[in-house]
Formats: sequence, C-alpha cells, structure tokens
Amino acid sequence: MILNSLLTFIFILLVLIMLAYLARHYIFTLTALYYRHGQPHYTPHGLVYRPTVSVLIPAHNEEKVIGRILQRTTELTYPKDKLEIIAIDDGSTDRTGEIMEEIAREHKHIKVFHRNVETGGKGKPEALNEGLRHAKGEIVFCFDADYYPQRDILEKMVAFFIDPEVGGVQGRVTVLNEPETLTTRLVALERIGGYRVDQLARDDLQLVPQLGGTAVGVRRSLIEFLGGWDPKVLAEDTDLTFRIYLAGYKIRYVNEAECYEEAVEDWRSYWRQRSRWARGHMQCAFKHLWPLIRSRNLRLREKVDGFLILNVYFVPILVGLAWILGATLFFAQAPQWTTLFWASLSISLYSATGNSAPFFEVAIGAYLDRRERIYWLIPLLLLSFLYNMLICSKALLDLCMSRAVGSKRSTWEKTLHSGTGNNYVNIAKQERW
Amino acid sequence: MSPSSTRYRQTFGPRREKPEYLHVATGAVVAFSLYVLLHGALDDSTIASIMIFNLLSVLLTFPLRGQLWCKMLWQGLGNLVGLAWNLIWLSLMASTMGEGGVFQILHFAIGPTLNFMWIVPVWSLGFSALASVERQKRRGRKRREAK
Repeated sequence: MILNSLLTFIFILLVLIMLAYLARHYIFTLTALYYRHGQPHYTPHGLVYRPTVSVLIPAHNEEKVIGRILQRTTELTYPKDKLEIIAIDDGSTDRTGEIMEEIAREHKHIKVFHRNVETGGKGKPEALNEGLRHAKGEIVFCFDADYYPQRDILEKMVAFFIDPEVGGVQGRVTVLNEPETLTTRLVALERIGGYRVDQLARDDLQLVPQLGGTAVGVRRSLIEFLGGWDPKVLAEDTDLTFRIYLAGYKIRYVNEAECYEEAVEDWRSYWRQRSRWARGHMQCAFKHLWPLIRSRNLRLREKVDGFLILNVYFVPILVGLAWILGATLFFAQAPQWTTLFWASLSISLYSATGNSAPFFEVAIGAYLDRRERIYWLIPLLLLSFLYNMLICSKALLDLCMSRAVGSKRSTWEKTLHSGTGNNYVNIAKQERW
Repeated sequence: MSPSSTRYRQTFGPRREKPEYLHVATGAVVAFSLYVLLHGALDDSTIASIMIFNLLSVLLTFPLRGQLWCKMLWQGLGNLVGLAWNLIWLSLMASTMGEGGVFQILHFAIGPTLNFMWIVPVWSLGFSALASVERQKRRGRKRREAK
C-alpha cells in the first residue's frame, strides 16, 4: 500500500515536470508568433558600432570543409582592418593544416596556428583556448569548420555588444544540406523549432538564450576573466552560457544573423553528436544547478528558465520512466484519478521531441519562415524523440559510470563531415545569395 | 534562404503575426458544440483525443493569418479522422475480448501514443494546406501587381 502510494506520487511528479516543459514550449511558441514588446533588436540612434573582431575557427581533420569557411571569411563585409581570422589546426592528420596555410598566404588577415598531434585533437575547448591566446579583437567570434556564415553576419551580431551588459551573442543556425537525407531533414526541423521559436522567445522574454557552439560572439575581456573555455566539459557552449549569466552578464539572440551548417547525414553520426551533447549538457547540469539556484545575479524568471534548460536532456529519460511507472500502477490497480495523469503523459510525449522542440513549435517556426513543404515530416519527429530517449539514457549511464570510476575528463567524439554542403554552397552562389 | 542584402543595416525585426481573434472564437464554438454533441455518446478516450486535436487547432492554427474556410475544413476533417480512428480501434478491442485481453493491455499501454499518430499528421497537413493557400494568395497578389 505504502509502495503503491509512493509510486503514484513519483508518477504524478514526473508528469507534472513534463507538463511544465509543455507549458514552457507553448508560451515560447505564442511569444515567437505574436509578442511585439520584446527586447529591441536594433542599435540605438542609428549608431554604427564597429569594434575590432577576432574570429576563431578550430578544425580537427576537416579537409573536406575547411576551405569553404576560410574562403567565406574573405567575403565577409566587416571592415578588414578591424578583423582577424584565427584558424586553429587542432592536431589534424589530414590536409586541414595545408589548406589553411594555402588560403592564409593569399589573405593577410587570416592567421594559422598549428597544434601538434600529441597535444591537439582532444576537443574543441582546448583548440578555442589556443586561439584565444592569440586573439587581439575586442569581440571574439567562434565558427565551426563545417559552417557557412552570411556575409554580413558580424555586423549583425556585433551591434548588440553596444550594450555593456551583453556578454555574448548567438546567431541563428540553419541547415545547409537539408535535402540530403531524412536525418538532415529532421535535424533541419529541430533547428527551426530550436532557433526560430525557442531562442527567439527566450530573447524576447529576457530569459536565458543559449550560446551554441558556433555563430557565437563573446567579449574577449569577459571570456578571459572567466578563464577561457572549460576543457573538462563536453558542452562548452552551454557551460559558457551559464558562466556568463552567473557572472552577471546576459546573452542576446539575433535571428537575422544566419549561419548555415552541414548537418549530420546518418543516424550513426546523429547518435555520436547527440551523445556528446547529452553528456555535456548533463555535466553542465551537475556543475551549474546549485550555483544557479543560489546566484544573486539572475532574476527568478532566468533561474526558472535556466533550471529547465539544464535539465532538458533528462526529459526523454523521465518520459520513459513515467511510461513504465504508469503501466505498473495501472496493473497494480491504482486509484482512478491517476488515469488523468496517464492521459497527460501522452500529451507531454511530444513536448520532448527532438532537440527540445515539440511538434507545434517546429510547425510554427516553419510557418514563420514561410516554409512550404516541410510540414509532412513533422510526425516523424517522434522517431528522433525515441532515438533521443536511448541516447540520453546511455549518456546518463556513461556519465554515472565515469563518475563512479573517478574519471573527470570525457572523450570528445568528433562529428564527421562529408562535405556535401559544398554542393549546396555552389548552387547558392550561382543563385547569388 | 537569402542573406540580408543591406550592408550596414542594424535594425533586425523578426516577423510577427497578428492573431485572428474572430477565427479563434469560431473554432472554439465549433469545438465546444462537438464536445456537447459527442459527450455521452462516445467513450472517454475518444472524446479526449478529439478534444486534444480541437484544442491544438483552435489555439495554434485558427489565430494564424489565412482563410477561415480552410481552417474549418481541416478541423472538420480532423474530427472525422479521429472519430473513425477511435471507432476502428474500439471495434478491434471488442472483437478480441475473448483472446485473453492482450489487445486491451495494448490499448492501455500504447493507446495514447497511437492517438498521436493521427492527431499530429492531420494537424500538420492542415497547417500545410493553410500555408499553401496563403502562398497561392501571395503569388496571385504579386502577379496582379506585376501586371
């Protein structure tokens, strides 16, 4: 009897947590659609703000894509006398370093730094820290090798640093190779929901817009004060987000500053990438939850949003747990009123699809983007949810295991890029965008 | 997917919608009438799934810019699909009563998820249709302006 009551209590608690996420997603969706009183998205008084900028591009065995991004940096419209590009060859064993040197020879503002095979290749944070040591710009930007930014992306993002409270700025990530496979299409959907709705709403409501690993700008003075990127954390972007907020600064999201990414093309790569994200995010949850709750630098609404973000990768596990618990309670003849929560659980299921964006958030994002034929894929997000359930469970197990054996450092699983994005860039160039 | 063409523009405003409150009210009246009509005639799980669909339509599709007839058409279609889905599901359950209740266990364990198999696709298709009608309208307007 006591056990039954305890299980019922846990079950109801789990469902309430999921309903909280559902409500949050619904608020974000409506905000992205209708809210017109968010933070201003402009530089006041028509002022043109142009500080010096350093762009860090870390790359480890990226010979298929590194040429594309370096070439693109030469096309950026930001004044060249205020711009330096720092390419970091992170112990590559392929032609990455050579390609970097070839392009750097032709363009003075591109500098290349090589890390040797013994010390390099241990993860992006270490490569970024190496780049930071050589950076001289007031604002440090970071782009991954497989990304392709808009020509005027720096102007759009830099404008927000005119506010001294802004510590970091995040641009929008859009999938470049979307038509390639079903996986890339589903990733594109997740990105639409995650950026066009989720991040924008967080910015509008003055919550906690998250820094991603790329299309990111940070004040150099701040990142140096914080001690650079933490090499022990697998999700260095989420980690930096919370360190910035805990230090009393804020982050802005710029929807118009687009950067195109080459998304993973098969489920195996998806697994590797998302496992790293999930483990990194969970590490951040363990690292920042308590400081977040205790911090005096964050308002209550920021704390609530931060709490929900930090725990987002636990949600698929909780859904699975609640499902098992609900079925157990049903067969153990629980009171009738638990049926209500059982039904609520199914509603909550879709609140945790994909990379934290539920189906209606994705659909509204696609609608706002004036997308035409993407909606029919939305039901398939259930696939990525089920996949994420496994990924997150495995990530939690791995993390617990590594903590049990006392290992503080996690292995960085590199995402492989095939370079198919190049085809889309060529098509786009012909169409002159 | 075109990058901004203005080089020194520093005003960035994302696209926003203005809610169609009249459409929302119409959709809500239809949904409520359906509830009153079907309540008592059908079992609770069928009513719940149909109402979830109506809730989604009224709160997320009806406020958007677009033709009211298109929204109502998809709301009606969705309700019909939901009704058919649940009737088939319940008749399967009734016809397998004597088979040790395996289907009943299945119904309980995965029934709510299976309901989403029709709710999400029908809602997405309705959304797609709405966007498509709007697109055609925009193109027509552009063509007229060009002439």
